[in-house]
Amino acid sequence: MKRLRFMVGLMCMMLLVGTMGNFAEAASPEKYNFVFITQWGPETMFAAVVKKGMDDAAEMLGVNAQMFFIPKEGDLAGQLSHFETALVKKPDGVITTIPHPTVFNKVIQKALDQGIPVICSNTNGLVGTGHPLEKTIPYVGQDLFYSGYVLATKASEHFSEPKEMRALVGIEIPGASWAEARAGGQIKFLEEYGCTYDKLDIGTDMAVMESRILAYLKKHPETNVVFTQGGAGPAPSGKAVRLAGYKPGEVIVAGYDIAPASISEIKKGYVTLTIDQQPYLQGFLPVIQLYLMKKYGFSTWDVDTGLGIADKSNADLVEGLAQKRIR
Amino acid sequence: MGIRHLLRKILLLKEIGSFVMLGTAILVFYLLSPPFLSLANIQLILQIAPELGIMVTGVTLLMISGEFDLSVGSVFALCPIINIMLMNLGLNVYLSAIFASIASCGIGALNAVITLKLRIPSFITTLGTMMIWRGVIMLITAGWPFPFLEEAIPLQKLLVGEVGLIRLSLIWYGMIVLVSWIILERSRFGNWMFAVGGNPRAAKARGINTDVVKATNFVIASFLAGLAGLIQAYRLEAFMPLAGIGVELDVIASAVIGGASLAGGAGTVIGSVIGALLIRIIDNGLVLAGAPGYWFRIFVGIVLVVSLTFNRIIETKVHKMR
Amino acid sequence: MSKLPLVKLVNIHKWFGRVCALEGVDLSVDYNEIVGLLGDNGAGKSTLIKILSGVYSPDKGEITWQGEKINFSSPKNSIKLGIETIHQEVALIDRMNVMRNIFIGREPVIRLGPMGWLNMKKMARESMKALEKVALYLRSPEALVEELSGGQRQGVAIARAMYFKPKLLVLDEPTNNLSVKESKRVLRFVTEMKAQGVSSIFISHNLYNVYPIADKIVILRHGKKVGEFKKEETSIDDLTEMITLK
Repeated sequence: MKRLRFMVGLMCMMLLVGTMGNFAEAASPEKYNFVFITQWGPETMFAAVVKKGMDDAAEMLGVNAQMFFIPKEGDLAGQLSHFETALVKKPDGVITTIPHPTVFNKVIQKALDQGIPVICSNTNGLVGTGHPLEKTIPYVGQDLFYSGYVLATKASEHFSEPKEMRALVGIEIPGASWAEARAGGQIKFLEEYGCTYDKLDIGTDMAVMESRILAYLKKHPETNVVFTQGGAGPAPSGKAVRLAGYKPGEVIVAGYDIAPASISEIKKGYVTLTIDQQPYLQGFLPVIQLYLMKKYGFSTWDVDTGLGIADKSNADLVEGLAQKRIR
Repeated sequence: MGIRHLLRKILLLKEIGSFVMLGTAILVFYLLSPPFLSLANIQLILQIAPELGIMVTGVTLLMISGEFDLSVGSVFALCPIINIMLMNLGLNVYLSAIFASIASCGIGALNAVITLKLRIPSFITTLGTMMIWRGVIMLITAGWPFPFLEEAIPLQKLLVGEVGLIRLSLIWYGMIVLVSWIILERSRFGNWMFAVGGNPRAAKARGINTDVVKATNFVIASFLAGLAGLIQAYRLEAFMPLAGIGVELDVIASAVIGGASLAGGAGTVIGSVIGALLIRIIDNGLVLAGAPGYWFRIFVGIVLVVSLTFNRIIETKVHKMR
Repeated sequence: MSKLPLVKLVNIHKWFGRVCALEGVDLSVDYNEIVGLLGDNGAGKSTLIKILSGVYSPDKGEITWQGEKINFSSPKNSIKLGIETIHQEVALIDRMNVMRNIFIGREPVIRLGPMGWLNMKKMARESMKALEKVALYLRSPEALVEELSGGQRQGVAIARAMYFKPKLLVLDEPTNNLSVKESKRVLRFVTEMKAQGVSSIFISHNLYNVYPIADKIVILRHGKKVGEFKKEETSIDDLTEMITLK
């Protein structure tokens, strides 16, 4: 029948198209196959840097490394599903972010039971849960609390004289563990130093942040230092300081990550420094680890990637590398 | 009954286009990566298929009646959260689930009232309610998930307990599919659904209360979305505020791939199953094939366009065959 | 023969916003009578018909059915009383098959539990019978309506109307999209119905269709009745003049 022939023809065409798009390299026995399960969507800029780190390490070592994005960012069920599916092919190693304290435990255990090593990168939701896996799985990423402490310490190097110090600790999402952890580190330092501080909900929208920080500065013109916790924080903080009429450097602004807007404020002098979790390393180092583990049976180790400081002294260097997706 | 006759009957099936696409996709992914058809992988797919599939069936029924629901993703997340909140207040797990489901139905009813009484296109209404309910969820949970409770375990066994090689959710899905099919194809109400979606003026002229038919389907779609959400939450043992975010696109894509018409009045329950399976298979197959993450959207887009074209072509051919 | 008319509309007014569609229209249809309703576009013919089918309610005026004052509040009501309407836009659902269309809204059901289950066998059987009654021979009652020609569709609509044995048949421009042969068949059918005791109101642009079969002719213009004649009292030319004047 004409129709039957037509449909068979269409099917064959689809088959042809499908097999032409054969993506996977033939898994040769000598090449390790690693997978990186992420919680990011494909257009996330941050993820692109991590991926570059992963790709560079893979090329260097001659292994296959595949990163999986989920089409709907935040859909943990989707990420879990990717993890489970990846296990079907029995990879040589798994790198994964763990954005939830419990959801991934079963599948991680399943991988370990199958003899597949697992490394956690970037987000470690197991921290503080006391689950046995917290000790077993190595973590390559930023130690949030400690990074806050280091940020505050470095910021204090710019304090002009030990006098009555006032600090604004801005929190984008009150209650969010990553924000509270980072702020916690800053607060620990501030309390040790003897500095008065206020915690403020600054919201996640840059315009909102700017207006709230500005309002605080107007109310407390004696403020010496402003902290923010998220990647979008430094630029609005710098702008707020400028709008409040301060000269560059009068108020110390410290925050996280190296978004282009933040770097530009550093160069203008309104943002003093940021601490960067160095996402490139979060992609690069786990691959190295897995390789060494598989090849020579080395044990695992944690890496705190989150101590990269960016300030006026290296702003240009950082900016250049950021454009190459290395920082 | 000769082979020719049997073949003819199969080709005349409404869902034939979707079946062919499903078959092709399975073949393609198998060729790209043989573990695709391994028992472990099939098990995996069957575990997660009901969560999307139940929602797609509900939305397909609604689309047949001529309306849309984009808020299913938010109901998907909200229902389990209401469930766990009630449990935190001390209510028994089964009752909490029932009340949470009633709440889902209420959301569906609200969608119906806004769409039908205020005469706002359902696409717009549910776009709005989708955002409202997601916002409500963020407010309730302040961004953070509720921990799974021990008291919830009995319901967990009921919803997603393992039975041999599969989970109970697959069986519930099968039952929902069966019941939906019977109501759609063999009941008076089903006939009204096709009429109301296919030609609402004509349906009204024949005395059918189009508002009641549509409202019922709004409630069904929301109820099933909430149920699907419960199933996922209990499988993952997590009540996540971001659950189901963005799923409405997958749901509508699945429905359309399964043959539901965007204009209303056409669609099948089996088609909804095939559509949901296909969407899940694509994601799974691409991971196994080692495709870079960017491919998922491209692939789904291609399948969508192909299925629409295919269904159109088949309709014309069938026309001539009759 | 009863002296009372089958249906009588008295002093009907209908507004849509500020537009007056019908102003003080009187119309009556006797038993075994075919009434032709004529008028140019915008005269109000369709609106009047829709009031009879229960789609619209009159803002002012009174309707009597078989001697009793009545309110056609909904299409369901109207159908229950025995009024079947063949609409201008064919009120069939394209993607459904013929038998489902014929029984839409009045499906034969088997009651089992809370729902009504379609009696598919009965639907198939009865729909074929209904089609035969209007001389429409289809291969199967499961043919989709969208696969039928214009004339066949109208045939199905008429078969549906006739199956439920109406007392009054309302036809709103039924021959609009039909061929000459198909139109003739519809007209013949309306005449046959009269012989079986079914009255009709027939709207048409085409005077040449209406005149031969009508007993009474009513002309509307701008929402008002401007003329009512028994066929014997007038001619096609006179009527044409009346309609197109001004």
